[in-house]
Amino acid sequence: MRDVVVNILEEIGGLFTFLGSVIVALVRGPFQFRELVYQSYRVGVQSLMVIFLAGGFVGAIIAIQFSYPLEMLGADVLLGGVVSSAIMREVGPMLIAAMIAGRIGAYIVAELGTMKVTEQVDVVRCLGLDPMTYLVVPRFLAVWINVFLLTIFGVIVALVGGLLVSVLMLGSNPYTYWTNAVALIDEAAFIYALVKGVFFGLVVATVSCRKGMLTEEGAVGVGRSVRTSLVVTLIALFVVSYFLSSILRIMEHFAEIGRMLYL
Amino acid sequence: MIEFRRVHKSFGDNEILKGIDVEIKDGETFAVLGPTGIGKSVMLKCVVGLVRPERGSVTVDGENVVKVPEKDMPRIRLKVGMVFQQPTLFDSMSVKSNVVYGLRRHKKLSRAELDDEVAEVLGLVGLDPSISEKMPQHLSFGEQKRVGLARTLALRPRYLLYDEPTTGLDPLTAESINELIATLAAKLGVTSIVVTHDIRCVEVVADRVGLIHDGTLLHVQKPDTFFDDPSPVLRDFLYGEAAE
Repeated sequence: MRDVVVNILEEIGGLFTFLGSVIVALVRGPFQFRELVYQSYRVGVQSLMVIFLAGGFVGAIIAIQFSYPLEMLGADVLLGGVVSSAIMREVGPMLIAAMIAGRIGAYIVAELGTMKVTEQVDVVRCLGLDPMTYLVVPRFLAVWINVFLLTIFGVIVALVGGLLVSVLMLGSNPYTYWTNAVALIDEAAFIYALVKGVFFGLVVATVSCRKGMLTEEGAVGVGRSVRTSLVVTLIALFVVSYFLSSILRIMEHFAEIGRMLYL
Repeated sequence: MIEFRRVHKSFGDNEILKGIDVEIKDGETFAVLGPTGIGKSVMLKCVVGLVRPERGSVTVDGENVVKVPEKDMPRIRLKVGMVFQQPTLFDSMSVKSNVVYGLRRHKKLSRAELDDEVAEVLGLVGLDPSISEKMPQHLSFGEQKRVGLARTLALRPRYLLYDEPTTGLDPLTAESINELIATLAAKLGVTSIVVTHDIRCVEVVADRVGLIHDGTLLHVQKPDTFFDDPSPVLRDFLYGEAAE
């Protein structure tokens, strides 16, 4: 038990230390804009179809799951609002980030890990260059920015998926669905989705780049890094999501009180 | 000049280097001979700071690199080029992009100047500049090794470290790489350290040679006397282990 706690604390400490060295390398520069664009294409543009499919089905599944209990309660007119709110506040960003962690995170760990074990990282150092600046920072930024953008894209696709399944398969009235969705999606729901997109991107970028750079012991080591990276990322996403939801809920509560006092 | 003084390095409980002492003079090609896994590559990596010794000093032009912090190491690494055992080319980049990878980040050069540099260093390593647009996976292993060397040469280092330059090559290609190392040393006047277990490589390239045995460097001398040295350790390596 003690070892588990020590390992968890070491992992958390390592993540923050790594994040600090990325920030130092980013500030010190020089900034590799071309590499950032290239990596953004590989991790972002090439993931669009996967996120499109995943997002669409996330929305469809949530619509199907909520339709039955709401119908039983005689509240099926609320389907649009409940589905849209669930997608934007929690389920959408979480499931899409998990999907991205599997695709982009694993790609980054495998690439950096292979570069590490085949001494390409040492080559970069021997050419008088800092691997953090030239290898890690462009990938880190590409993952962070693209996870955020893909999360937003995925949430939008999930909303459309939920709408299509509700209307075409579950027989909801499109006008009722839309009116109810608009009524229940307030600015707080947008803030939930945006804030979670930013933090989930940070989690995937930090864990995957760090695990890649820590890889040792050949092909076996690369496989081990990919596996542990995915586990750490998913756990970190759940933990971060819990704390963000709690903090955002408290802020939302205070905002409601403030609004009531103002009125 | 590169100088090793009482260099010690351990990995866990395994002490690999137990007091390496040697001085490599300017313009000299020094070969370090020894079986695989004995610490030859570790010795090279100490020069460029990829491995930090626990004790002793490694000086390059009078500066002890053991004490140079990592952030200042690029200054040393621009003087000391290292050619790795594997070609270690960036496989998503063309030959040209590999060759200029370090150069374009250290010097502001126009596209035409970069092309000239690529043609020049590829010529130095015996490759036709027409391969510059090819991807590494379309080259033979020997050609990849030459491109790796060209990438190092593009920064015009004063010192060159070769880690097992002929490993994995057929005898003919290995011989051509040996001749290339000797030619570069003569043409560019660089000081070189070559670590190898290939006796033929020592015969072709080395001005002096030493044998790593049990963490120390033994029998440092010119190759012609080295191969006739009656030391049992040396004869065991040259005519025992090496022949296996």
